Amino acid sequence: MIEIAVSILILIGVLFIVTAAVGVLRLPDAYCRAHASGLSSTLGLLSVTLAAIVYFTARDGSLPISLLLVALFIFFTGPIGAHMLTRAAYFIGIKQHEGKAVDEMADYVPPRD
Amino acid sequence: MELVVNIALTLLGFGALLCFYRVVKGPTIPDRAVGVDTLMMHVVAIILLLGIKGETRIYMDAVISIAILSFVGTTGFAKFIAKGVIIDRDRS
Repeated sequence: MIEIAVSILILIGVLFIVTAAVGVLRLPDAYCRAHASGLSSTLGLLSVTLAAIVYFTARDGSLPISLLLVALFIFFTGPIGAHMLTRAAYFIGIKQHEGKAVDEMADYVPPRD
Repeated sequence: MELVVNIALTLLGFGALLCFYRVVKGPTIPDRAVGVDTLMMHVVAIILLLGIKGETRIYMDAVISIAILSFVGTTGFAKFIAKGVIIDRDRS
């Protein structure tokens, strides 16, 4: 029973992380790639960490505190890292892809040349 | 569960190859930084799955230190490509 739950959590997490990798490979510009990486790999890594927490708790009978710290840390720092990368990319003037991209931030902060 | 962990490790290795292609190819610097960030996520997940596969808890401290190093590296890289320096003194 525990093994089935751990297997389902691992499969969900790995599916999200590999989706993030495919998004980083396939999407057209840096902002879309940071979007795919920051959202999807955070959720996937949380799910894999939860699988490890469930597995080691069921096997040993004690809660692994360091894995709880990892889950909390990733939950806070994944979106922060993606946001800082996207902000830096905007300020050095990385162009968006051709198509339906809308630059709503240009009214407030013009990008540096 | 052994089969599921093996399949998951295979998929993660494939995804790490995709991210490594983006790191090598990426046209601009933020593309490479995003690729390195996603690659570090893959590394953390691979080490967690190796700990489950080997039924040991000694990898979990390595996991927390690699997660912290990943965040520090991403933040430092973002500061570097925004201003050219990592530690600045202009308090803006």
